[in-house]
Amino acid sequence: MEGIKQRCAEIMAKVFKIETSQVNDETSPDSITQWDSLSHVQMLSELEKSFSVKINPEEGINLETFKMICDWVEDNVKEG
Amino acid sequence: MGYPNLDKVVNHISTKSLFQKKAVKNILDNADSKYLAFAEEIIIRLNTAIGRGESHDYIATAYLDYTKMIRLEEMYFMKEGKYRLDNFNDAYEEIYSQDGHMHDYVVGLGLTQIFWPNHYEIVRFYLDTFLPRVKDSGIGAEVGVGHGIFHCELLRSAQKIRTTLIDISPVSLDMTKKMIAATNIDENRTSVKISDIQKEIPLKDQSLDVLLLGELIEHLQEGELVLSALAKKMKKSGYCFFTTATNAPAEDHILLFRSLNEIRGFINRCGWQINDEHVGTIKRMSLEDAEKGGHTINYASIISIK
Repeated sequence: MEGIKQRCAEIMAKVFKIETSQVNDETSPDSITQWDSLSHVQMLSELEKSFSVKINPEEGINLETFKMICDWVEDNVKEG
Repeated sequence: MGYPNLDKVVNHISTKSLFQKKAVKNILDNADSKYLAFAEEIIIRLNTAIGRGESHDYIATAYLDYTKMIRLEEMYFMKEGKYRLDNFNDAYEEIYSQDGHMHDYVVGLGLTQIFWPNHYEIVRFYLDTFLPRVKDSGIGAEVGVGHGIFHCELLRSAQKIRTTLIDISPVSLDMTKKMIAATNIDENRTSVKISDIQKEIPLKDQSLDVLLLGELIEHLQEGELVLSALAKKMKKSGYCFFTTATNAPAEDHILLFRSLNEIRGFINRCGWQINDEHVGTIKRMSLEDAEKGGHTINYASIISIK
């Protein structure tokens, strides 16, 4: 899980132009100014590329915290 | 003076969606009294037009459903580089013929005129730049009436004008009539025509002093034919308010413009000239960045026939 968390944090840092140190389980659009609905779509796209996974759009738009994102990745991605 | 109806809708939105709570807070933090008064009035009118008593929760939910739809379509667009639909029949089957969905749709779309900065800027361009050019009397029409907000303002501004509302959706036509009534305007000043504008334009040639085509063209499979045909319905002295957008995925968008020059070329090919324009990008990015990145540019213009 730590590997997944690190990769997700790096993706969020890249998309939202923040430091990975700003990312924790409670991180959400409330705590990150740059995390809005448009950048959320961009983040989902980056997650798909990075983890070679397809995110169901209806699920993806509801992933509103860092923890939810990491949990989704852990449940849906088989790490090699 | 407070804005209790706006506050109620904002509270409902903020409770249900983190993203929209943030977006709405952003616009309110920068709002002037003109915006607040306008937003309050629109919500009061929508409440009246919906006719179910206090409907702030429903209005907020319709707006959130609309924004969710846009996000889903954006995800498709980002991957595929095109709009999901490529023909009007599918749009009709999925959306325009579904009365319940259409009601939610037009209410949600109406709220974007308040809560999306680019849409509100187009409203202001319409109110402050277009409407002063419209004669007080004469003949007007709107094709694709949607929520009715623009039509109400036309009738308020040009107090002797008589108009025709044209739409393929009876729900849109009904909502617009109800919004007109909610604006305390005599409904007898308008007549209603249900029509697929791609098959029939129920207007006389050279009859129009004013024509409203707000976010119509991107919904059509035969957009070029329609805009060319509508040119014939205008008086030489008449004005048309035309809006569209580049790279703007939505569940019923078909005609994709990828650049401003594509839009301008389209208008010119259809026999119109551009008198004035307003453009707006998401997050105030440059036009170059918007076009390179495939992001939405909202476009409004005042056009007349060549």
